[in-house]
Amino acid sequence: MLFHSLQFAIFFPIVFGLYHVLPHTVQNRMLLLASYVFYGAWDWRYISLLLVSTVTDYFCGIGLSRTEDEKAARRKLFVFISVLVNLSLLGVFKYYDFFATEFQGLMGAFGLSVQPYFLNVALPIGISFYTFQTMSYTIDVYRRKVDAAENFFDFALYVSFFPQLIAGPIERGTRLLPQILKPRIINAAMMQRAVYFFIWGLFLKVFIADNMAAIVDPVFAATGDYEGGKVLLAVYAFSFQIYCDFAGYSFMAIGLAQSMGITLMENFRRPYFARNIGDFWRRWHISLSSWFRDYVFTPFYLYIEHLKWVRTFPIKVRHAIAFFGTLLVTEYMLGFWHGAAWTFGIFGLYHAFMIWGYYYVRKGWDKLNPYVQILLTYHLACGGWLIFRANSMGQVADMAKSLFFNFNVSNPVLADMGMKIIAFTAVLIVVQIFQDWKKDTVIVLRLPVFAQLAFFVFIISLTLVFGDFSDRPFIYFQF
Amino acid sequence: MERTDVTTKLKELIESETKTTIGSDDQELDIDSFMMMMVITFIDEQFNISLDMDELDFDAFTSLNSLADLVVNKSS
Repeated sequence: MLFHSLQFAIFFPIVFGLYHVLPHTVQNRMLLLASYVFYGAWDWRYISLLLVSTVTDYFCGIGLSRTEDEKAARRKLFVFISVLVNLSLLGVFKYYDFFATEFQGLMGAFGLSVQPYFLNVALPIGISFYTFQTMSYTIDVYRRKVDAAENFFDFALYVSFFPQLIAGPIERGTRLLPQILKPRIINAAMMQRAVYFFIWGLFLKVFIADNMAAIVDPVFAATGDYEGGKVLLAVYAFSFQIYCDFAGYSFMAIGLAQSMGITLMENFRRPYFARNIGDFWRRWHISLSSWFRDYVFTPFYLYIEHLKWVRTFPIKVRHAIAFFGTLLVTEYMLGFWHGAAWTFGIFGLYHAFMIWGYYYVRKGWDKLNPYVQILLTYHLACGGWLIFRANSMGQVADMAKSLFFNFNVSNPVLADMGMKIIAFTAVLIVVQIFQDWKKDTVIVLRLPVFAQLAFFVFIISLTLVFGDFSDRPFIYFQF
Repeated sequence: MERTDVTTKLKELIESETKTTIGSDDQELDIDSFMMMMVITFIDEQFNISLDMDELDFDAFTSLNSLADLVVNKSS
């Protein structure tokens, strides 16, 4: 059930209407039911996976809260069970067929014929998001950062809350659970923000992202000799497509949740205004990058730093080993989280090396003009998007080669592609220049009322007239 | 080890590395993974404190106060 579908246009007003007439406890039960209906509308069979993750972490949380002794081995056992169950769900349903295929290919290369068992099932939608959300809850209970949820239904709502169930933001127990447990108050300012975020997200998705897809897809679907100019513009277009698709979803999720009194975390903070690649990751998919920072990078860093052989080095060297080793592993995992293909892992490694490189040259880099920093960082990010979007590493190599050896600027198709990219992204760029200048995501809401109205009428008109309502799914649904 | 001494030294490090000014000890710090490494290295060098997994999570890096708490608790 896409946020911009007819189904959702019927579903949400019913949920919203019921929400605002029910008392708090019943609100939560109704939201839980609505969330399962929302998820089941895609494929009801996969509700069972959502339930497995929910039940596991609920009981792990309860078990942890009832184990007072900080040193008890069973505390670690509960975390182990949570991680094992959730990663097993991910491993089986997201990665198993990929590795089975790779294994078959590898054996074939040695002249051995093997026929592994294939699941051949569609990827359960949202599985990468809700498994990470539930694991973080159990780890946070283990770290005593959040109290275990006593009521199963409240916890089930924390896992399945429909605005962010399918594609995030990946919430934390420390933020979302208290909002579920306490009665929520909704005021006019919150409703104003809710409407703004939803309309802005819809505009990003339907007007920009889906129109960019029409530019990007033919270039990446082609085979054979690529033309550098078309590749370059397709990568630019994809950078806007993926941002507007994913940030659009996040903004709509934030808006929907806000209309029910729940504030979700910011997931994108104008990433293409980043001044270096490290800064880019502090602005892009914040809920995921901070998840990896808190639950993978930090503990793994300290683990490496405490290895016996590492501790034989001087302090600065051993911390550098720990940092760069952890960076490689974390970024690879972060890339691979996106999907079962080597290109995603390499996308992660590419970013690890870019971050690594930045810290080597940062004294010189930081002296550059800020606009040059932004432009360079954007192009480094585009290098990552080429790897991310390509169908294979062979295509990445061919396309990269075309940028240097087959660049024909006189091709009239380029002017047409370029004009379309500018036309569809101009509003976004202008709005974000002001947002970044004032460091204010909701700067539009600071305008006089008539100017706000004019802005909304303008972007709604653009969306309705030029938007693509062809049920094109969100890119991040496949993750 | 004086808490104010710890706070002052950490403040100097973070301000010089991030080229920002920290207004108060409670101000939320915008620290990334690299800065985290710099801080852990600094704590190791300056205070001879080696942090380990069971006593650290990223929350310790949210403000000068939380960092100072970490260092003072670990040294006591």
